[in-house]
Amino acid sequence: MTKITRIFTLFMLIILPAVSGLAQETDTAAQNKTGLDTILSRLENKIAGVKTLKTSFIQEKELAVFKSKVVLKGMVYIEKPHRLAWHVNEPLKYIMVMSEDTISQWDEDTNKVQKISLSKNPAFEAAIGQMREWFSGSYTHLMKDYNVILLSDKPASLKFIPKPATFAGNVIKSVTVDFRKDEQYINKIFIEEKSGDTTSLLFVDTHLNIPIEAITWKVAPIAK
Amino acid sequence: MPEKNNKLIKPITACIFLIVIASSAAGIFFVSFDNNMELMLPENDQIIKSMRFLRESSFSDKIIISLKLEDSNRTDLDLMKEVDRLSLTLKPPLITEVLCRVSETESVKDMFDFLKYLPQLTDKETLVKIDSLINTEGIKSVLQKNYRQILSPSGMFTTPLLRTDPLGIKIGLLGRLQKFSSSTGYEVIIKNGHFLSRDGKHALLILKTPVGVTDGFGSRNLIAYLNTKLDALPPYISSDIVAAHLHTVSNEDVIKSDVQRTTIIASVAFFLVFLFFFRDIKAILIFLIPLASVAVAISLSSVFLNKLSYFIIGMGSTIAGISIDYGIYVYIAIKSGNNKLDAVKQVTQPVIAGALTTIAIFAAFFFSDVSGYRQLALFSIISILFSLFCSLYFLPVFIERNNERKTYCPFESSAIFPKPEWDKAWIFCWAILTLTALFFSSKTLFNSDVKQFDGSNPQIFKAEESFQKAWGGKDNPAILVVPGKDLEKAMLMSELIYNEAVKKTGSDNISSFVSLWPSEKTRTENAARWINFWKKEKVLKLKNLLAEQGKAYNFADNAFSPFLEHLYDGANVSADTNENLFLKRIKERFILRNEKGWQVLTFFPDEDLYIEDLAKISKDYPGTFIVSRKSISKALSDAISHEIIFLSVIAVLLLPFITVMLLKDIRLTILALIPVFISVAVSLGVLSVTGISLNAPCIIAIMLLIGLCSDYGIFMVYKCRYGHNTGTVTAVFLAALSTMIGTGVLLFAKHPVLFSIGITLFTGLLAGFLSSVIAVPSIYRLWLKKGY
Repeated sequence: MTKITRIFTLFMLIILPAVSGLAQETDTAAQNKTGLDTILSRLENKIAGVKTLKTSFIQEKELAVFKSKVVLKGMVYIEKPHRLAWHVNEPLKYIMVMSEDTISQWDEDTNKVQKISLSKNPAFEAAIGQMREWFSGSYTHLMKDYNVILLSDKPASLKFIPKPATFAGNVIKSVTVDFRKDEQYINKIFIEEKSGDTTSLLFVDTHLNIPIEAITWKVAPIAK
Repeated sequence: MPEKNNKLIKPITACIFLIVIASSAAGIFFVSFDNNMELMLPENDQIIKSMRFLRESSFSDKIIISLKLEDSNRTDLDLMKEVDRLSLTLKPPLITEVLCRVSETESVKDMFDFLKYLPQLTDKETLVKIDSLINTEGIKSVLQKNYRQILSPSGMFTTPLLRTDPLGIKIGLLGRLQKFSSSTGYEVIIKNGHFLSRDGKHALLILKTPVGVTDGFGSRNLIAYLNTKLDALPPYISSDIVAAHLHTVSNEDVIKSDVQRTTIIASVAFFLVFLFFFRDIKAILIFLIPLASVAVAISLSSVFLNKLSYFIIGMGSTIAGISIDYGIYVYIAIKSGNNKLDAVKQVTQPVIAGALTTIAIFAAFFFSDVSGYRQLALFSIISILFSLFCSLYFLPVFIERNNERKTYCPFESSAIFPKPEWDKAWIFCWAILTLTALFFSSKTLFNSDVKQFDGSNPQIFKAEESFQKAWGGKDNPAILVVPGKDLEKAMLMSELIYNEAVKKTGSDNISSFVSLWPSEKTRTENAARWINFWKKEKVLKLKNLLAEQGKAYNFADNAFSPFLEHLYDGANVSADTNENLFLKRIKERFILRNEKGWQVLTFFPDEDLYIEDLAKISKDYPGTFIVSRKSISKALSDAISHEIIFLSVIAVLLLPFITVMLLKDIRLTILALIPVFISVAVSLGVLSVTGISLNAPCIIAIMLLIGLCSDYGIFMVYKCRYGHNTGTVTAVFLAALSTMIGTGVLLFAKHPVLFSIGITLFTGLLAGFLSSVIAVPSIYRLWLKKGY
């Protein structure tokens, strides 16, 4: 894990002085812009009311690297403005807790905790930050990196296509976000990669604005 | 007939004088001036190499522009738009390249393209480690890691790499790159391909220019051009330029304005002093002598020197203050004496003695390693000689004794002079003052930091501070430079040095290009070893192990085929790598080309421990050298300390030798040198008390001080010994006053070097003058008078 996080950090830090070139950007289709803006601000207003969130999730990964679909089950906790916890229970035990500047990770196999400073690992922040952005619901902010297509109005369903020459644009083909009926939070996120791999993330048993136990944010090795 | 000759002497002398001045003044227009600070540095091999490297390398010819978003209602998108707009307006010939964006897609492609050279970049030790993994337990362990990684939230971005690198070989290679990022020291994030600060409020543009840092005129044009472009930015965007060119322009401006200011103040003060004390229009001639001598010195010096330093010219007013003394002595002697011829005769010996001792001090500078000091020696000696000549031969032609006015000698009165009964009290006071000064002067600190010579406008330093606040990069790394006519040879030497350095200090903080991309010889050996290692049997064994152990983790049979299928790609050493921008850009930072060949750079922390270790290694490799602010500072400190001792020894030997030759008496010599001793002690003490550290230019000032105060001492000794009626005390007073005006004006200088020279000279002269007219007569009366 340490080495992998280094890759992204290094990748970004090294290409900074190492590569130059002009990127081409395409603007979001003008005709949809006004309508989209209205819907996005409506969604943001609704999600703004959510201060804490506790939900189970089912993540299905259909990746070329695996023989068959891998299904992950676990819990997601959010406490605004900065805290996010990602607990995986199946098929492996894994915990990731993200605060404003630090990510702490633990897994059952190594039983070790790894802490990563996001400010010192900007590339890792960019990778992991994608997750924070999708979960936040602040999609207006995402419009500078993505072109947005409205798939359905009520409940809202949006398709995000990364702009060329963006970090996400290297890997992601599109991200589709379906909202719950009350539009207070996301129901499902579907990510299609350029390689053809797909990941779907379904939120179930979602509780909004309930107290989150302090232990949720603690990441420590398990004494055996 | 003799009367007719006398009538002709004045116009002929005046004509000769005017011709000399006019031709010297005209000559100034053909003199080349230089503001290169290297001139003031010792000719130490390490210092020169470092300075030359910094001057010739492309580092100093780069310009960084940092744009800041000032309006919180605007977003980073507005900032990026302005970066793009500005970058399009920056064009040749002054700006040849603008780097403000990267294409992340292209970057990833280049990065992966670079990793395909794995066969050339994998060394023997790594192959041993890989071999130890190709067994059931080893493969199980790597697959477990890969599985965990692919299922983590960031797995989406890492999976493509893991498929081409199940054993983590590329990840190991990328680990080496971490050091490359640390060698920049900047904290930059990339957003929409732009270089932004972490707070998203600053954006960065890196410009390349063909304008050299030492090119004052070009730098001025460049900065003006950039300012015009930056002025067009909207009000919500502010900008900071970080460039060595700014320092060039600002230093030139500060020194020029200092020279102007000090010259004007000195001219006015001189004029007022002479009119106040002499009320004689002919006294202007004394004022003209130093001006003429400076003009002559500039023109004549340029015959021997290619370029004259602004620093040396900046001391023109001080030099004028020195060379005015001889005119004063002669003028006062004529005016106060009974007979013009006798007066000139009586004053000639001490004037020549004073001039010779001062010349001796400046002559010591010819032995200096610092070319600026040698310039000063030549400049000053010419100025003094011309001034001496004018004072003794030109001035007496025009000055006549005035029978009606004896007020030229107000300080000869015994009411002002200390009375003999106070001698012991005065000597006691002087002893206390000298001991106090010696106590403080022992605490004077020596400062050899090159930065102190930078008198740039504070706004420039402020901009640099705010840049560092936004972007980091305060601690620049040190550089080990390996030069070579042939790149391959330089690379091979770099490899040897790198390997030794890693053994000594570890690899964590050493950033060398060869650690990423070794010499062609090493890459050829690596590639051959790789091909030999990955024989069919080993590849088959790995494939089977991956398939077998991968079942437990649900890995597909072809999960890692991207690795196995491209195992031998990139083994061809002769393949063209120029298209890989990733490698090309790193190469640009680590490999420099100049007229003499190539320079391969290794970056490391600018810390004593590293410098010491790397310097030891560098000694075994002729031609290599270290460039670091700390080591330059240390080398400067060593060289200047050596310089101080050397020059002081010469001065200490020369001054008493010449004085004793002229006075022909050891006790009189000691007496004449007492003001010198006191003045040096006081000026060093004042530096210590005022918190100004001693630096190289201060050393020059102290040498000047020695020359000047020895003149006062000699004159007062002549006065005490022979009692000539030549208005000595008044002459010494006026000489000291004029020199103090010349040096005092430097206290108005904004440039730190000129200011430190001013304070050293002014305080030292004051002490030297007072001790000459008070301490010397008292000591003479108590110690010597009875014997004569």
